Amino acid sequence: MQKLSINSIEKHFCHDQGLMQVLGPLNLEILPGEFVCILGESGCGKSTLWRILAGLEAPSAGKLLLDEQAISGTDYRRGVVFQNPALLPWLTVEENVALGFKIRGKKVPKQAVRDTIKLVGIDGFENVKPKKLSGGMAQRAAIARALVSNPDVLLMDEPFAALDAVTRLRMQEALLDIWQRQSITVVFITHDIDEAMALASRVVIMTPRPGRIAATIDIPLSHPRMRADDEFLHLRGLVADELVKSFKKSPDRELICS
Amino acid sequence: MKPTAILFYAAGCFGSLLLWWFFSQSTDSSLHRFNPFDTWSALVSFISMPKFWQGLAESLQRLAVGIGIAAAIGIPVGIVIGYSSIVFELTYIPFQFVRMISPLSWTPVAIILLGIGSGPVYFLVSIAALWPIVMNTAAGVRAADRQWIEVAQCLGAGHLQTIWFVLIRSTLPHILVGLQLALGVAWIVLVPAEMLGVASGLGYMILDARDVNDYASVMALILVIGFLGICLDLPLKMLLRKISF
Repeated sequence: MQKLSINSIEKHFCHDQGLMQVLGPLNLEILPGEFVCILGESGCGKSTLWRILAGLEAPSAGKLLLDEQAISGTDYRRGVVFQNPALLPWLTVEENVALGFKIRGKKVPKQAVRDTIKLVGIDGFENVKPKKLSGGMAQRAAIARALVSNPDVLLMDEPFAALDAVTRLRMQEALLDIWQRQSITVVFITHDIDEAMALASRVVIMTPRPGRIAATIDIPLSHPRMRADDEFLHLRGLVADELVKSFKKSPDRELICS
Repeated sequence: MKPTAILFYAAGCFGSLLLWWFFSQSTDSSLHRFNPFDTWSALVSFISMPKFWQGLAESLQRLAVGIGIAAAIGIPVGIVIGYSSIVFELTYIPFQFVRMISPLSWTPVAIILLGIGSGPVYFLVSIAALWPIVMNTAAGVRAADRQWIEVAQCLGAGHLQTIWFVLIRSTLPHILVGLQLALGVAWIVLVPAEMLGVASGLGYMILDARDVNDYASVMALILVIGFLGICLDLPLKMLLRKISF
């Protein structure tokens, strides 16, 4: 496992009135085995940050380092999970999970694919088409698709936001179970304080416009977490306060040239 | 299908026949020559006529070759146009321009380039079939879900793998619609194309029948052409239903 460093990353977008800075400069180090939740309001640039981490967008300035090596572009060793499962509808669950090997021209490791499908808890549905799956099950398949290549880091962009509240809790439990069993590194984007509190070993709070880091709070609580414990409630309060404070820190749309 | 629907379909066919019969009863003798009863006996006599079956086979073979050429060129071209916005912009105006030209206007060009025989017919049929295939394939590629492409990229796909593993399959329904439309125009173009410079096929047979004042055969051949058009469309429609997702 390797350390992922975000080094003075910035992102500008062209806008009617000129160039708008949506992100950064932003610095963050993600250590092996961490579960980092990036928490911020909608439109704070956290999804842009995620797209840069995934390699789907290039930063306007700054660098991404994996174990001190600069990286760019997409790479299967950074596994991604989108907000939507984005399974290919003409393939079965098993074929979707195995897709990466086919794309890379590798022999599909049948056993690893089956094991990963079992790990995410959808064994028995290998030969089912995505249309027949519920939202939660489809997202489990998407997680399996990312996990099966043994990525250095799993990048998740609000993966449970589209699910109902109860399914979301189940999915959080399932993800924690996978994280503990596989000892992987996770970067998880969310706008939900409770979700961040349930999952994170560290919560990173972002200010909007431009997206910058407002605060970083370690959550040194073991799992399963007791949501009514004093320490949990105390930390949750700290996170919520920092989030509120972050709104005040943020200037309005910042135009850097016109 | 609902039983009432079948009833209405049948009534539509019967009504059309009735209308045909009504007009052929006119006092104008030239219209009377196209009446349904003579047409029917001509149609029955075709069954035992090897020349008819040969002509039919020739026409279908020309159609298949023409559409085959159009698909072999049109599908790859459509994929590239849909995938690359530069190629899309480069080709947009020339393609729209050429698309609007009636395929039959190429006849002199086709005959000069390919001589007399099946060559110009293949050319005219393929040029008619090409545009619906290109346009629908390109539209299909452009309509592909962006996230499918991003998923493939994140799993390590380059351009070729993205096209192969995502775009071709996701575009397949659009390609089939393109083929269906292509089949329609190709079948329409085939008959007049066979009236120019070939000595076989359904189009030629219509002219041949007219030359000997055999109007019943002319009508019978027209019926055969319409009927075959429906028959050719049906399997594609069924295939489309099967591969949609």
